Amino acid sequence: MYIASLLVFMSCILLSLSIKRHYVSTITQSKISSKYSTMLFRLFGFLCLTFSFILFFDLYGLALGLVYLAATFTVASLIQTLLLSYLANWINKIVLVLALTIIALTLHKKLDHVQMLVAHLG
Amino acid sequence: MNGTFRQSMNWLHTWSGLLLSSLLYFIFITGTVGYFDKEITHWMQPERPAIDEKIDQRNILEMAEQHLNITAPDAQSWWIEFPIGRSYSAVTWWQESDEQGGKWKSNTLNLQTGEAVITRETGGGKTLYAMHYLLHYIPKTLGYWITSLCAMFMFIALITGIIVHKKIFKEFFTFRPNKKKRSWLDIHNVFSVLPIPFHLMITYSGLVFLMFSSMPGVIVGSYGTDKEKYSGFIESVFQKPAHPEHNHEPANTLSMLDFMPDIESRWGENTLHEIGLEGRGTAGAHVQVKHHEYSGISDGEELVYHGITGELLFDSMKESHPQSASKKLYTVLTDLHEGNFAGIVLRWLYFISGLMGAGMIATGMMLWATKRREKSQRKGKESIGLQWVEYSNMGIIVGLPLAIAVYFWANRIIPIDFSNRENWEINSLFITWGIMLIGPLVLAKKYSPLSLWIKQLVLASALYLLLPVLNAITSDKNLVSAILQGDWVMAGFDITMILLGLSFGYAARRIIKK
Repeated sequence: MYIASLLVFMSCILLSLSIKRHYVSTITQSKISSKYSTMLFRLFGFLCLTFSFILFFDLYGLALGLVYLAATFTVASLIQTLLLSYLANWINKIVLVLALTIIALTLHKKLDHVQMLVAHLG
Repeated sequence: MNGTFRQSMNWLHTWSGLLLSSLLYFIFITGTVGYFDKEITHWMQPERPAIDEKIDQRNILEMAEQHLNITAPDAQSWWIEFPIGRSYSAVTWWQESDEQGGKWKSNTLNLQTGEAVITRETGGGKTLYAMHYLLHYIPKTLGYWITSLCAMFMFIALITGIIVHKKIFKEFFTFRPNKKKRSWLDIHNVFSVLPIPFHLMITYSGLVFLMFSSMPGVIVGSYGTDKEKYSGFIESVFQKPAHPEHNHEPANTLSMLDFMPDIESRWGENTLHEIGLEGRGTAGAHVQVKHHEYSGISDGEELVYHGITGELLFDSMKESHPQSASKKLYTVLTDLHEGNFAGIVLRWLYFISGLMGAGMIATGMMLWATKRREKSQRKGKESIGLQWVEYSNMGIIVGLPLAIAVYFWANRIIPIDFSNRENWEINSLFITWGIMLIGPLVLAKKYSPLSLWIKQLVLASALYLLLPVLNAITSDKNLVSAILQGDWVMAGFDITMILLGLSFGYAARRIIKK
């Protein structure tokens, strides 16, 4: 659930950065925004959202999974809106921390699975 | 309403949202608070023993049956709620006989002694929650109609709002602070657009929830106005799982304890949410058992046994309730609206979305007043009507949360043996709200609007911040002891009150700085 929620938050950040106004104020501090980078942000944003839905679906089923997705997206987008308004220069760092946390949590989960598999085989 | 389609929709959005905005705000706030109704009741009855989920459910059931045998020997319905999940105490319920009035009564059990705990009379969280669809001081049906009308207006405001919003995706994450009207519009959009799935779901399901009251013509057209026929309709819609037929012949009923081995063999130990014996002492007796976990968004597993023979009549795992497609849709929508399936995390997410809904209405009211203020300043005319709106906004937006804080204060201050104390708790809420609505109008000549906003915000902040202190003084529970005992419901309430107090204080500080 933590990974899915963090992925939703990550998707909010990426999707907001795919909007020119936020990209300019957060990343480049310039008025030119790269067309490809905004497209990439959008692509990865929707990918994160899709993965989070898959995880929620896996955890709670379709109905409850959708409820979780909508609810976490609401709160995550509210946090992102406040960050963009008041702490825009923190977003780069937050993306990094989020990405590392997601990777660490996923690896930890995978490690559990491997340990269980080894124990099972043993 | 002339002009382009978008302009017409803009007009409709403004007026459908504004006309019943104060009632909608009331409905949103009380409904949102209602997501924690059980937790609020737990705080409002500090006499309740601390939660102990470790006690075996068989022991609790034995204790409860003994208690009911003494307290309600003639009752035909017995129910026992176990302390599990969001049920924070063991509670016995029984229905008085028709001669005694047929009312439902309940007792909270002390699991150490097996005796009933004498708790203070209070409306608790349930009354706050019920106010969001029944309102108060008016007949039930009228409450349903008004709430339905509000939901309809809200739904129109939402749909037209989506049409009116030109840059819904471009400005999805946009809030530009300190820009007067622009900031109000931005924050109104943030509170409206981000939780739009919640807003659409809660409004539409609210309409569906009350459709039997708001659209009675459809039912009357098919079933007539006869009460018995209406009950027939209700029975056919809300079919219950296989029950023995009504039979009032006296018969010896089995004890609920006799069913425990079979229940535990199916579900495991300590998994019951509640168990009930209906038609006790008659040949039509049956035992109904509910699992504490939900299956997705719907109610959890359920078993029904014959109360005389012990035969299993219904198992929701093996056979589902026969339902039409429309009934399934109705169930899904009402389940989503109530959010009974929600665990603690999802419940908080529901709560935040609900607060955003209240914020959407409040900012809409403020935006309308700000726009009119700018217009009147341009014209150099001072409108008394606008002044009234501005002052009443104050009383509605801050006054209501402040009145709810007074409701909690009243719970601790009104003497326990005070007659009708439950009603006086609620009266104190509405009296305070009335004062907060009238107060700014009376004081308008003496103080500026900003200074009145600050006064109300500071008062709200103080009332919320001091609630944990009041709790510590007037009961044997406090924030520290609750944390040490692991009573996170009690502690959570106090912490939430502190956070609310700080939020109101912060808002007051921001206005002072301006």
